[in-house]
Amino acid sequence: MPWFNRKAPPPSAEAAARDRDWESALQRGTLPQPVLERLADARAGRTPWVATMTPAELLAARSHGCRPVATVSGTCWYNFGFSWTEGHAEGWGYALDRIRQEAFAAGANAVVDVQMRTIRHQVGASMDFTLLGTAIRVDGLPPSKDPVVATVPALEFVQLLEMGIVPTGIAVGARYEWLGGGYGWGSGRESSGFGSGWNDRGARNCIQWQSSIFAGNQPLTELGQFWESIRRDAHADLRRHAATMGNGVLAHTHFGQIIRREQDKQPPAYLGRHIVIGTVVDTPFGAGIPHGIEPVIDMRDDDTLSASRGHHHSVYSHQLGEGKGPI
Amino acid sequence: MAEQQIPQHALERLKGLRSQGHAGGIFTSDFSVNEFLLVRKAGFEPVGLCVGSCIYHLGFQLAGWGSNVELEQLSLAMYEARALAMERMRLEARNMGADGIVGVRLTVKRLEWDKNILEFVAIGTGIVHAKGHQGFKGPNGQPFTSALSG
Repeated sequence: MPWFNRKAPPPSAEAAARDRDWESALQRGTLPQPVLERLADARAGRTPWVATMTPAELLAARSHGCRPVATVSGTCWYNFGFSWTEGHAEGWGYALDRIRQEAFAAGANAVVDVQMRTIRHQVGASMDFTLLGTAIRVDGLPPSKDPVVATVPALEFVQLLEMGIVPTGIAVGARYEWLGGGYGWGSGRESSGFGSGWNDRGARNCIQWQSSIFAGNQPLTELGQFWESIRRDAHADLRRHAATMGNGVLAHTHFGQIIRREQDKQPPAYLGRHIVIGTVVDTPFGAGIPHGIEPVIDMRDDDTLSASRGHHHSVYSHQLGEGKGPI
Repeated sequence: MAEQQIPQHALERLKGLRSQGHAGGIFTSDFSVNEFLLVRKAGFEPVGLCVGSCIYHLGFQLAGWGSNVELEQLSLAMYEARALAMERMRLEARNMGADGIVGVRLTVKRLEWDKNILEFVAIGTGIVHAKGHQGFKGPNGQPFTSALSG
Protein backbone atom coordinates (compact mmCIF):
# COMPACT_ATOMS: atom_id res chain seq x y z
CA MET A 1 0.00 0.00 0.00
CA PRO A 2 1.37 3.42 -0.89
CA TRP A 3 2.57 5.57 2.02
CA PHE A 4 0.21 8.43 1.20
CA ASN A 5 -2.89 6.30 1.40
CA ARG A 6 -2.41 4.35 4.62
CA LYS A 7 -5.91 4.95 5.94
CA ALA A 8 -7.68 3.49 2.93
CA PRO A 9 -9.12 0.03 3.49
CA PRO A 10 -7.00 -2.65 1.81
CA PRO A 11 -8.49 -3.90 -1.45
CA SER A 12 -10.07 -7.32 -1.24
CA ALA A 13 -8.20 -10.23 -2.74
CA GLU A 14 -10.76 -10.35 -5.54
CA ALA A 15 -10.34 -6.70 -6.40
CA ALA A 16 -6.58 -7.05 -6.43
CA ALA A 17 -6.82 -10.10 -8.69
CA ARG A 18 -9.17 -8.23 -11.02
CA ASP A 19 -6.74 -5.33 -11.27
CA ARG A 20 -3.90 -7.71 -12.09
CA ASP A 21 -5.98 -9.51 -14.71
CA TRP A 22 -6.91 -6.28 -16.45
CA GLU A 23 -3.40 -4.93 -16.31
CA SER A 24 -1.86 -7.93 -18.02
CA ALA A 25 -4.76 -8.20 -20.47
CA LEU A 26 -4.46 -4.57 -21.53
CA GLN A 27 -0.73 -5.02 -22.05
CA ARG A 28 -1.29 -8.05 -24.23
CA GLY A 29 -4.23 -6.45 -26.03
CA THR A 30 -6.62 -9.19 -24.94
CA LEU A 31 -9.45 -9.59 -22.44
CA PRO A 32 -8.98 -10.99 -18.93
CA GLN A 33 -10.15 -14.53 -18.23
CA PRO A 34 -13.13 -13.63 -15.96
CA VAL A 35 -14.53 -11.33 -18.67
CA LEU A 36 -14.10 -14.01 -21.31
CA GLU A 37 -15.90 -16.48 -19.03
CA ARG A 38 -18.75 -14.05 -18.36
CA LEU A 39 -19.20 -13.39 -22.07
CA ALA A 40 -18.97 -17.09 -22.90
CA ASP A 41 -21.74 -17.76 -20.35
CA ALA A 42 -23.89 -15.06 -21.90
CA ARG A 43 -23.16 -16.48 -25.34
CA ALA A 44 -24.23 -19.97 -24.33
CA GLY A 45 -27.34 -18.66 -22.62
CA ARG A 46 -26.22 -19.82 -19.17
CA THR A 47 -26.78 -16.33 -17.79
CA PRO A 48 -29.67 -13.97 -18.57
CA TRP A 49 -29.16 -11.56 -21.45
CA VAL A 50 -28.79 -7.85 -20.84
CA ALA A 51 -29.97 -5.20 -23.27
CA THR A 52 -30.47 -1.45 -23.39
CA MET A 53 -33.45 -1.90 -25.72
CA THR A 54 -36.96 -0.65 -25.00
CA PRO A 55 -39.83 -3.17 -25.31
CA ALA A 56 -40.69 -1.83 -28.79
CA GLU A 57 -37.12 -2.22 -29.88
CA LEU A 58 -36.95 -5.72 -28.48
CA LEU A 59 -40.02 -6.65 -30.49
CA ALA A 60 -38.57 -5.22 -33.70
CA ALA A 61 -35.26 -6.92 -33.03
CA ARG A 62 -37.00 -10.25 -32.33
CA SER A 63 -39.08 -10.11 -35.49
CA HIS A 64 -35.88 -9.74 -37.49
CA GLY A 65 -34.09 -12.53 -35.74
CA CYS A 66 -31.82 -10.41 -33.55
CA ARG A 67 -31.24 -11.63 -30.00
CA PRO A 68 -29.48 -9.50 -27.39
CA VAL A 69 -26.57 -11.31 -25.75
CA ALA A 70 -24.71 -9.04 -23.37
CA THR A 71 -23.68 -5.48 -22.69
CA VAL A 72 -20.19 -4.90 -23.99
CA SER A 73 -17.85 -1.97 -23.61
CA GLY A 74 -14.47 -0.62 -24.53
CA THR A 75 -12.64 2.04 -22.56
CA CYS A 76 -9.36 3.80 -23.01
CA TRP A 77 -8.15 6.62 -20.79
CA TYR A 78 -5.70 8.45 -22.95
CA ASN A 79 -3.06 11.01 -22.13
CA PHE A 80 -2.47 13.66 -24.77
CA GLY A 81 1.27 13.76 -25.18
CA PHE A 82 2.35 15.40 -28.39
CA SER A 83 -1.08 16.11 -29.78
CA TRP A 84 -4.53 16.69 -28.37
CA THR A 85 -6.20 16.34 -31.74
CA GLU A 86 -4.60 13.12 -32.88
CA GLY A 87 -5.02 11.70 -29.38
CA HIS A 88 -8.77 11.81 -29.94
CA ALA A 89 -8.50 9.63 -33.03
CA GLU A 90 -6.21 7.20 -31.24
CA GLY A 91 -8.27 7.06 -28.03
CA TRP A 92 -11.48 6.23 -29.88
CA GLY A 93 -9.55 3.73 -31.97
CA TYR A 94 -8.45 1.79 -28.88
CA ALA A 95 -11.94 1.86 -27.39
CA LEU A 96 -13.34 0.57 -30.70
CA ASP A 97 -10.84 -2.30 -30.78
CA ARG A 98 -11.74 -3.29 -27.24
CA ILE A 99 -15.51 -3.26 -27.71
CA ARG A 100 -15.00 -5.38 -30.84
CA GLN A 101 -12.97 -7.89 -28.84
CA GLU A 102 -15.71 -8.18 -26.22
CA ALA A 103 -18.36 -8.58 -28.92
CA PHE A 104 -16.28 -11.28 -30.58
CA ALA A 105 -15.94 -13.09 -27.26
CA ALA A 106 -19.72 -12.92 -26.85
CA GLY A 107 -20.11 -14.55 -30.26
CA ALA A 108 -22.04 -11.56 -31.56
CA ASN A 109 -22.74 -10.43 -35.11
CA ALA A 110 -23.18 -6.82 -34.13
CA VAL A 111 -23.16 -4.33 -31.29
CA VAL A 112 -26.09 -1.93 -31.41
CA ASP A 113 -27.03 1.21 -29.53
CA VAL A 114 -23.37 2.04 -29.09
CA GLN A 115 -22.87 5.24 -27.16
CA MET A 116 -19.77 7.34 -27.17
CA ARG A 117 -19.17 8.62 -23.71
CA THR A 118 -16.61 10.68 -21.96
CA ILE A 119 -16.48 12.27 -18.53
CA ARG A 120 -15.72 15.95 -18.37
CA HIS A 121 -13.02 15.69 -15.80
CA GLN A 122 -9.87 17.69 -15.27
CA VAL A 123 -7.21 15.02 -14.90
CA GLY A 124 -4.29 16.65 -16.61
CA ALA A 125 -4.21 16.63 -20.37
CA SER A 126 -6.13 13.42 -20.70
CA MET A 127 -9.58 12.15 -21.48
CA ASP A 128 -11.45 8.89 -21.19
CA PHE A 129 -12.94 7.37 -24.31
CA THR A 130 -15.67 4.84 -23.63
CA LEU A 131 -17.99 2.92 -25.93
CA LEU A 132 -20.95 1.01 -24.53
CA GLY A 133 -23.42 -1.11 -26.43
CA THR A 134 -25.55 -4.22 -26.62
CA ALA A 135 -24.07 -7.20 -28.41
CA ILE A 136 -26.62 -9.03 -30.55
CA ARG A 137 -26.73 -12.29 -32.39
CA VAL A 138 -28.68 -12.77 -35.63
CA ASP A 139 -30.50 -16.12 -35.79
CA GLY A 140 -29.15 -18.51 -38.35
CA LEU A 141 -25.83 -16.73 -38.80
CA PRO A 142 -22.49 -17.98 -37.52
CA PRO A 143 -20.72 -15.67 -35.05
CA SER A 144 -18.78 -12.94 -36.81
CA LYS A 145 -14.99 -12.68 -36.79
CA ASP A 146 -15.41 -8.95 -37.06
CA PRO A 147 -18.65 -7.83 -35.37
CA VAL A 148 -20.02 -4.52 -36.62
CA VAL A 149 -20.32 -1.62 -34.20
CA ALA A 150 -23.51 0.37 -34.78
CA THR A 151 -24.08 3.69 -33.07
CA VAL A 152 -27.77 3.54 -33.90
CA PRO A 153 -30.48 2.26 -31.54
CA ALA A 154 -31.82 -1.25 -32.20
CA LEU A 155 -34.90 0.04 -34.03
CA GLU A 156 -32.88 2.05 -36.52
CA PHE A 157 -30.43 -0.83 -36.85
CA VAL A 158 -33.20 -3.13 -38.02
CA GLN A 159 -34.61 -0.38 -40.24
CA LEU A 160 -31.21 0.05 -41.91
CA LEU A 161 -30.67 -3.70 -42.32
CA GLU A 162 -33.96 -4.03 -44.14
CA MET A 163 -32.79 -1.44 -46.62
CA GLY A 164 -29.51 -3.22 -47.22
CA ILE A 165 -27.50 -0.73 -45.20
CA VAL A 166 -25.21 -2.10 -42.48
CA PRO A 167 -23.85 0.35 -39.91
CA THR A 168 -20.36 -0.98 -39.28
CA GLY A 169 -18.37 1.30 -37.03
CA ILE A 170 -17.18 4.73 -36.05
CA ALA A 171 -14.66 6.62 -38.12
CA VAL A 172 -12.57 9.49 -36.81
CA GLY A 173 -10.57 12.02 -38.78
CA ALA A 174 -8.35 14.46 -36.90
CA ARG A 175 -5.81 17.01 -38.01
CA TYR A 176 -4.05 20.02 -36.56
CA GLU A 177 -1.57 22.48 -37.94
CA TRP A 178 0.37 25.49 -36.71
CA LEU A 179 0.63 28.62 -38.78
CA GLY A 180 3.97 29.98 -37.62
CA GLY A 181 5.48 29.70 -34.16
CA GLY A 182 6.40 26.09 -34.49
CA TYR A 183 8.62 24.94 -31.66
CA GLY A 184 8.18 22.82 -28.57
CA TRP A 185 4.83 22.51 -26.83
CA GLY A 186 2.16 24.79 -28.10
CA SER A 187 -0.29 26.47 -25.79
CA GLY A 188 -2.96 24.18 -27.18
CA ARG A 189 -0.90 21.07 -26.42
CA GLU A 190 0.01 20.34 -30.00
CA SER A 191 3.65 19.91 -30.79
CA SER A 192 5.02 21.05 -34.09
CA GLY A 193 8.22 19.52 -35.32
CA PHE A 194 10.82 21.60 -37.07
CA GLY A 195 10.04 22.15 -40.69
CA SER A 196 6.46 20.96 -40.31
CA GLY A 197 3.42 23.12 -40.53
CA TRP A 198 2.99 26.43 -42.23
CA ASN A 199 5.72 28.71 -41.11
CA ASP A 200 4.97 31.51 -43.46
CA ARG A 201 5.66 34.88 -41.93
CA GLY A 202 4.19 36.67 -44.92
CA ALA A 203 0.85 34.95 -44.36
CA ARG A 204 0.84 35.91 -40.69
CA ASN A 205 1.67 39.50 -41.51
CA CYS A 206 -1.19 39.48 -43.96
CA ILE A 207 -3.63 38.17 -41.34
CA GLN A 208 -2.45 40.79 -38.89
CA TRP A 209 -2.98 43.54 -41.42
CA GLN A 210 -6.36 42.22 -42.59
CA SER A 211 -7.69 42.03 -39.05
CA SER A 212 -6.37 45.35 -37.86
CA ILE A 213 -8.73 48.01 -36.63
CA PHE A 214 -8.22 50.06 -39.80
CA ALA A 215 -9.08 47.24 -42.17
CA GLY A 216 -12.55 47.35 -43.66
CA ASN A 217 -14.94 44.50 -44.31
CA GLN A 218 -12.95 41.68 -45.81
CA PRO A 219 -12.40 37.95 -45.71
CA LEU A 220 -9.18 36.84 -44.04
CA THR A 221 -7.79 35.07 -47.07
CA GLU A 222 -4.65 33.49 -45.64
CA LEU A 223 -6.26 32.29 -42.42
CA GLY A 224 -9.21 30.98 -44.42
CA GLN A 225 -6.99 28.94 -46.73
CA PHE A 226 -5.01 27.58 -43.80
CA TRP A 227 -8.26 26.59 -42.08
CA GLU A 228 -9.70 24.96 -45.20
CA SER A 229 -6.59 22.89 -45.75
CA ILE A 230 -6.79 21.51 -42.22
CA ARG A 231 -10.42 20.65 -42.68
CA ARG A 232 -9.77 18.91 -46.00
CA ASP A 233 -6.99 16.86 -44.45
CA ALA A 234 -9.24 15.87 -41.54
CA HIS A 235 -11.93 14.78 -43.99
CA ALA A 236 -9.42 12.80 -46.04
CA ASP A 237 -8.37 11.14 -42.78
CA LEU A 238 -12.03 10.32 -42.04
CA ARG A 239 -12.45 8.74 -45.45
CA ARG A 240 -9.31 6.67 -45.04
CA HIS A 241 -10.45 5.41 -41.65
CA ALA A 242 -13.98 4.74 -42.91
CA ALA A 243 -12.63 2.78 -45.89
CA THR A 244 -11.34 0.11 -43.51
CA MET A 245 -14.89 -0.56 -42.28
CA GLY A 246 -17.41 0.26 -44.97
CA ASN A 247 -18.09 2.67 -47.77
CA GLY A 248 -20.07 5.56 -46.41
CA VAL A 249 -20.32 7.88 -43.44
CA LEU A 250 -23.53 9.12 -41.83
CA ALA A 251 -24.35 11.32 -38.85
CA HIS A 252 -21.28 13.40 -39.30
CA THR A 253 -20.27 15.56 -36.41
CA HIS A 254 -17.35 17.88 -36.14
CA PHE A 255 -15.36 19.99 -33.78
CA GLY A 256 -13.09 22.78 -34.94
CA GLN A 257 -11.10 25.45 -33.21
CA ILE A 258 -8.68 28.20 -34.16
CA ILE A 259 -6.44 29.42 -31.38
CA ARG A 260 -4.18 32.46 -31.57
CA ARG A 261 -0.90 32.61 -29.70
CA GLU A 262 0.81 35.93 -29.21
CA GLN A 263 4.53 35.96 -29.85
CA ASP A 264 7.35 38.28 -28.97
CA LYS A 265 8.43 40.63 -31.81
CA GLN A 266 6.56 38.57 -34.35
CA PRO A 267 3.04 38.38 -35.73
CA PRO A 268 0.92 35.95 -33.70
CA ALA A 269 0.90 32.24 -34.49
CA TYR A 270 -2.29 30.33 -35.13
CA LEU A 271 -3.26 26.77 -34.25
CA GLY A 272 -6.09 25.15 -36.16
CA ARG A 273 -7.52 21.81 -35.10
CA HIS A 274 -10.36 19.85 -36.58
CA ILE A 275 -11.95 16.55 -35.56
CA VAL A 276 -14.66 14.83 -37.57
CA ILE A 277 -16.52 11.73 -36.43
CA GLY A 278 -19.16 9.72 -38.22
CA THR A 279 -20.98 6.41 -38.27
CA VAL A 280 -19.66 4.16 -41.01
CA VAL A 281 -22.13 2.24 -43.15
CA ASP A 282 -21.68 -0.42 -45.75
CA THR A 283 -24.18 -0.41 -48.59
CA PRO A 284 -24.28 -1.03 -52.33
CA PHE A 285 -24.71 2.05 -54.54
CA GLY A 286 -28.34 2.82 -55.30
CA ALA A 287 -29.77 -0.08 -53.29
CA GLY A 288 -33.55 -0.22 -53.57
CA ILE A 289 -35.99 0.58 -50.82
CA PRO A 290 -38.27 -2.46 -50.52
CA HIS A 291 -41.31 -0.78 -49.07
CA GLY A 292 -42.87 2.60 -49.39
CA ILE A 293 -42.13 5.54 -47.17
CA GLU A 294 -45.18 7.67 -46.65
CA PRO A 295 -44.88 11.33 -45.83
CA VAL A 296 -46.46 12.16 -42.50
CA ILE A 297 -47.17 15.59 -41.13
CA ASP A 298 -46.53 15.84 -37.44
CA MET A 299 -48.23 18.80 -35.83
CA ARG A 300 -47.03 18.27 -32.31
CA ASP A 301 -45.08 21.06 -30.72
CA ASP A 302 -41.91 19.29 -29.78
CA ASP A 303 -39.41 18.21 -32.37
CA THR A 304 -40.35 14.55 -32.40
CA LEU A 305 -38.36 13.72 -35.51
CA SER A 306 -35.05 14.69 -34.07
CA ALA A 307 -36.00 13.09 -30.76
CA SER A 308 -36.37 9.78 -32.58
CA ARG A 309 -32.83 10.05 -33.85
CA GLY A 310 -31.48 8.52 -30.70
CA HIS A 311 -28.35 9.85 -29.11
CA HIS A 312 -25.56 9.88 -31.61
CA HIS A 313 -22.18 11.27 -30.68
CA SER A 314 -23.27 13.41 -27.80
CA VAL A 315 -19.65 13.71 -26.76
CA TYR A 316 -18.89 16.90 -28.64
CA SER A 317 -22.26 18.59 -28.36
CA HIS A 318 -21.83 20.00 -24.86
CA GLN A 319 -25.28 18.76 -23.92
CA LEU A 320 -23.98 16.72 -21.05
CA GLY A 321 -23.65 18.53 -17.81
CA GLU A 322 -20.46 18.73 -15.86
CA GLY A 323 -19.19 15.23 -15.26
CA LYS A 324 -22.57 13.72 -16.03
CA GLY A 325 -23.52 11.03 -18.50
CA PRO A 326 -24.60 7.43 -18.87
CA ILE A 327 -22.20 4.96 -17.35
CA MET B 1 -45.53 -10.26 -37.26
CA ALA B 2 -43.22 -9.27 -40.06
CA GLU B 3 -40.91 -12.00 -41.17
CA GLN B 4 -37.21 -11.52 -41.53
CA GLN B 5 -36.37 -9.62 -44.70
CA ILE B 6 -32.73 -8.79 -44.47
CA PRO B 7 -31.00 -8.54 -47.86
CA GLN B 8 -28.23 -11.01 -48.67
CA HIS B 9 -25.60 -8.28 -48.75
CA ALA B 10 -26.41 -7.25 -45.18
CA LEU B 11 -26.33 -10.84 -43.94
CA GLU B 12 -22.90 -11.37 -45.51
CA ARG B 13 -21.58 -8.33 -43.70
CA LEU B 14 -22.99 -9.54 -40.38
CA LYS B 15 -21.21 -12.84 -40.83
CA GLY B 16 -18.02 -10.85 -40.90
CA LEU B 17 -17.43 -10.98 -44.64
CA ARG B 18 -16.49 -7.79 -46.44
CA SER B 19 -18.68 -6.68 -49.30
CA GLN B 20 -17.74 -4.82 -52.45
CA GLY B 21 -17.25 -1.09 -52.20
CA HIS B 22 -19.50 1.75 -53.27
CA ALA B 23 -19.16 2.60 -56.96
CA GLY B 24 -17.88 6.06 -56.17
CA GLY B 25 -15.60 5.13 -53.27
CA ILE B 26 -16.37 6.32 -49.77
CA PHE B 27 -19.15 8.83 -49.31
CA THR B 28 -19.49 11.08 -46.28
CA SER B 29 -22.65 12.81 -45.10
CA ASP B 30 -24.29 14.21 -42.04
CA PHE B 31 -27.54 12.37 -42.70
CA SER B 32 -29.48 10.71 -39.92
CA VAL B 33 -30.94 7.28 -40.64
CA ASN B 34 -34.29 8.72 -41.72
CA GLU B 35 -32.70 11.33 -43.95
CA PHE B 36 -30.53 8.78 -45.69
CA LEU B 37 -33.52 6.53 -46.38
CA LEU B 38 -35.60 9.41 -47.71
CA VAL B 39 -32.84 10.61 -50.01
CA ARG B 40 -32.48 7.07 -51.37
CA LYS B 41 -36.21 6.77 -51.76
CA ALA B 42 -36.16 9.90 -53.90
CA GLY B 43 -33.63 8.18 -56.14
CA PHE B 44 -30.46 9.95 -55.03
CA GLU B 45 -27.19 8.82 -53.51
CA PRO B 46 -24.90 10.87 -51.26
CA VAL B 47 -21.42 11.56 -52.61
CA GLY B 48 -19.80 13.64 -49.94
CA LEU B 49 -20.07 16.31 -47.33
CA CYS B 50 -19.61 19.78 -48.80
CA VAL B 51 -18.28 22.50 -46.55
CA GLY B 52 -17.45 26.09 -47.29
CA SER B 53 -16.11 28.47 -44.71
CA CYS B 54 -15.16 32.09 -44.63
CA ILE B 55 -13.29 33.81 -41.85
CA TYR B 56 -14.34 37.40 -42.11
CA HIS B 57 -13.18 40.62 -40.57
CA LEU B 58 -15.84 43.20 -39.77
CA GLY B 59 -14.91 46.72 -40.73
CA PHE B 60 -15.32 49.77 -38.50
CA GLN B 61 -18.89 50.90 -38.06
CA LEU B 62 -19.74 54.40 -37.02
CA ALA B 63 -23.00 54.54 -35.12
CA GLY B 64 -24.37 57.80 -33.78
CA TRP B 65 -25.61 57.64 -30.23
CA GLY B 66 -29.40 57.82 -30.06
CA SER B 67 -30.05 57.46 -33.77
CA ASN B 68 -32.06 54.57 -35.17
CA VAL B 69 -30.11 53.49 -38.23
CA GLU B 70 -29.10 50.37 -39.99
CA LEU B 71 -25.48 49.38 -39.46
CA GLU B 72 -24.78 49.11 -43.15
CA GLN B 73 -21.18 48.05 -42.87
CA LEU B 74 -22.21 45.08 -40.71
CA SER B 75 -25.17 44.14 -42.91
CA LEU B 76 -22.89 44.16 -45.94
CA ALA B 77 -20.37 42.04 -44.08
CA MET B 78 -23.01 39.42 -43.30
CA TYR B 79 -24.17 39.28 -46.93
CA GLU B 80 -20.68 39.05 -48.37
CA ALA B 81 -19.29 36.49 -45.93
CA ARG B 82 -22.35 34.27 -46.28
CA ALA B 83 -22.14 34.42 -50.06
CA LEU B 84 -18.45 33.51 -49.97
CA ALA B 85 -19.06 30.51 -47.68
CA MET B 86 -21.93 29.32 -49.91
CA GLU B 87 -19.82 29.77 -53.04
CA ARG B 88 -16.99 27.68 -51.58
CA MET B 89 -19.41 24.95 -50.55
CA ARG B 90 -20.82 24.93 -54.09
CA LEU B 91 -17.31 24.68 -55.49
CA GLU B 92 -16.64 21.59 -53.39
CA ALA B 93 -19.89 20.07 -54.65
CA ARG B 94 -18.96 20.81 -58.25
CA ASN B 95 -15.54 19.24 -57.78
CA MET B 96 -17.09 16.02 -56.53
CA GLY B 97 -19.57 16.01 -59.39
CA ALA B 98 -22.67 16.43 -57.25
CA ASP B 99 -26.05 17.28 -58.79
CA GLY B 100 -27.07 19.20 -55.73
CA ILE B 101 -26.54 19.84 -52.04
CA VAL B 102 -29.24 19.02 -49.53
CA GLY B 103 -29.61 19.73 -45.84
CA VAL B 104 -27.63 22.94 -46.10
CA ARG B 105 -27.01 24.67 -42.81
CA LEU B 106 -25.48 28.09 -42.43
CA THR B 107 -23.81 28.90 -39.17
CA VAL B 108 -21.81 31.80 -37.92
CA LYS B 109 -19.38 31.60 -35.04
CA ARG B 110 -17.51 34.20 -33.09
CA LEU B 111 -13.83 33.65 -32.52
CA GLU B 112 -12.77 34.04 -28.93
CA TRP B 113 -9.69 36.10 -29.52
CA ASP B 114 -11.03 38.84 -31.77
CA LYS B 115 -14.50 40.31 -31.53
CA ASN B 116 -14.27 41.69 -35.06
CA ILE B 117 -13.73 38.31 -36.69
CA LEU B 118 -16.57 35.95 -37.54
CA GLU B 119 -16.39 32.50 -39.03
CA PHE B 120 -19.15 31.65 -41.50
CA VAL B 121 -19.69 28.00 -42.34
CA ALA B 122 -22.01 26.41 -44.89
CA ILE B 123 -22.39 22.63 -44.62
CA GLY B 124 -24.50 20.28 -46.71
CA THR B 125 -24.40 16.84 -48.26
CA GLY B 126 -23.70 16.58 -51.99
CA ILE B 127 -25.94 14.08 -53.78
CA VAL B 128 -26.17 12.56 -57.26
CA HIS B 129 -29.04 10.89 -59.02
CA ALA B 130 -28.55 7.14 -58.66
CA LYS B 131 -29.32 6.44 -62.32
CA GLY B 132 -27.20 9.31 -63.62
CA HIS B 133 -30.15 11.50 -64.63
CA GLN B 134 -28.84 14.99 -65.45
CA GLY B 135 -32.13 16.86 -65.22
CA PHE B 136 -31.86 17.54 -61.50
CA LYS B 137 -28.96 19.94 -61.64
CA GLY B 138 -29.53 23.60 -60.91
CA PRO B 139 -29.32 26.45 -63.42
CA ASN B 140 -26.38 26.21 -65.89
CA GLY B 141 -25.55 22.69 -64.75
CA GLN B 142 -24.45 23.98 -61.34
CA PRO B 143 -25.33 21.98 -58.23
CA PHE B 144 -28.58 23.11 -56.63
CA THR B 145 -28.71 23.90 -52.93
CA SER B 146 -31.53 23.09 -50.56
CA ALA B 147 -32.09 23.41 -46.85
CA LEU B 148 -34.40 20.39 -46.95
CA SER B 149 -32.73 17.31 -45.61
CA GLY B 150 -34.70 14.29 -46.65
